[in-house]
Amino acid sequence: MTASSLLTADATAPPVRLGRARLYTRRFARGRGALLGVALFLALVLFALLGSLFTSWDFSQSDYLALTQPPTTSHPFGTNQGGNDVLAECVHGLQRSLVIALSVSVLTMIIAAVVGAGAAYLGGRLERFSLAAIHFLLVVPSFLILALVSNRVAGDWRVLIIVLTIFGWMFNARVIWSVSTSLRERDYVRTAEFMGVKPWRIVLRHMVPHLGALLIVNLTLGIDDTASQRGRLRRRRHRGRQQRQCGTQGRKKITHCS
Amino acid sequence: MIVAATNAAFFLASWFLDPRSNYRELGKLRTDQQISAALRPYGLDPDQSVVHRWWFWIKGVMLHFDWGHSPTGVSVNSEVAYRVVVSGELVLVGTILSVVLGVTLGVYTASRQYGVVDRVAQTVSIVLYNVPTAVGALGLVLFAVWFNQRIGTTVLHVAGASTPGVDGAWSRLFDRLDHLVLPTVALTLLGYASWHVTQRALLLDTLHAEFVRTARATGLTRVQAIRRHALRASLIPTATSVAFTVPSVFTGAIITETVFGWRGMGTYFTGTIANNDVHGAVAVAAFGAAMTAIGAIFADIATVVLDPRIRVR
Repeated sequence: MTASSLLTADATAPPVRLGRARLYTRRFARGRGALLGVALFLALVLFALLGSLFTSWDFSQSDYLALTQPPTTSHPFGTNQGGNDVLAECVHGLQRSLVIALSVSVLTMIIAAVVGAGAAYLGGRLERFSLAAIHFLLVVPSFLILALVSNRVAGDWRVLIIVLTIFGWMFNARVIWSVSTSLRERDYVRTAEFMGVKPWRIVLRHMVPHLGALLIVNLTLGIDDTASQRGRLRRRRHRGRQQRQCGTQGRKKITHCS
Repeated sequence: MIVAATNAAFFLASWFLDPRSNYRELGKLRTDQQISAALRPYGLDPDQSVVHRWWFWIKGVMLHFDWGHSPTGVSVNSEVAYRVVVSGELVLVGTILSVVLGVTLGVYTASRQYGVVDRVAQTVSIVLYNVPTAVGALGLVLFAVWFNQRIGTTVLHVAGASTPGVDGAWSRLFDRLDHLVLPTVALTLLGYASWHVTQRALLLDTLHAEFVRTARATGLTRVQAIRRHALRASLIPTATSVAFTVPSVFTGAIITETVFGWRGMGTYFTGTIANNDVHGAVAVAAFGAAMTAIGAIFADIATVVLDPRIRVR
């Protein structure tokens, strides 16, 4: 198909119908706050990807001739006590923060939504088992385990993502479960049931979308929490020795939602 | 469950924290035997097996409710007892205020979505949410210092939970309340935003639900429909969240406690881990577990009260 035929096809189509994706982008773009949030977020991502171009230093290198220097041309953000270039450290920390915070909060939210809503709707043994798991993980001193693991793996970010996810989903799952116990009694869930929709389909297509607002807000707040939680872990481990965690940088993030 | 978790915490902490290093860092050099001998009366001697140490510890807890000692011999019981009160004062008021403020704002702004108040409140909340605790708390301290100098006397206390040497029940009480003002303001201002944003989104969701429309159709006014039907349903997740944040709030106000010089559970928790205080860390974990259990019960009660349709199974 050539470009011209595409164009004509477009012209003959009724103008009102937009694709879902385009409809959502248009609506989203109408909110100025939302656009500002996206711009800020993109700026952070760009800084994480390209920030190292502004300095010739690596985050692990030490410049022994310049300790605790204010910003200069060779060190745009200055250096710390160890002679590390602060800009390089910021960029490195931000990369890690972004990757970990984003993936952990998305993963935990998915698990929380599926487990919470699934347990509430399906009930029975599954519900009892999930609730027991949630409560057990809530009660277990996860901080000790986190500290232990992050000490063992010396801050391997992939392991950190897994561990933070394992110990991060229960809280939201518990909240979603209690909302879902109310949702499962609502009329539209009943209707779907009487129409013969399969149980998991009800959970995923009817109940989880209804939780949308809660999920999105908690997701954005969760990104921030993960970033600062990781910062705390790291601070305890290294006592600020290397790799300044850019928790503060990560904080200026999107909380624009809804 | 709490028992299992606490025992797990004991083994984890014993594995992870090494009380010997506390003595190694002391000025006078000691041999390993000397260190072991110093730690043995507290049941922390690493030369004895973990099971042995665990038995020593669990016996103390079960028989005398004695949660053990730190490596330097400070009783965990007395520390925790003091700090729970301090943290409780600090955190309960702060949490209640921030939840009330946040939920009220959320409800108010949700029923006037995209109005001027909504926009302003939203912006303020997002800005406050993104202020790091340390910055916010220090800003308040600076403000208070400036204010005190301006007035000439110390109206707002910046540090500590109370002034030593204040006598009399009433002046003591006022003194404590006075010390409480700033940290509470800090906790509330920096903590209410997430409740506001969440509650607003939740209520907006339920405002358009069919049962609210039905309520309006039966002749209720908009305010009545919101208050009796929409708000109830949208409060469920908030109530659950509040119930389950209680433990983390108790041990999580580390920065606020540090800035205002309160010796609460948060600083104790970080202290135990930094000082290889096995028994202390386990006691904090047990405290957290107990708070979680209490929170779970409250969450269930609140959910059923808010939505009677829920069947208790």
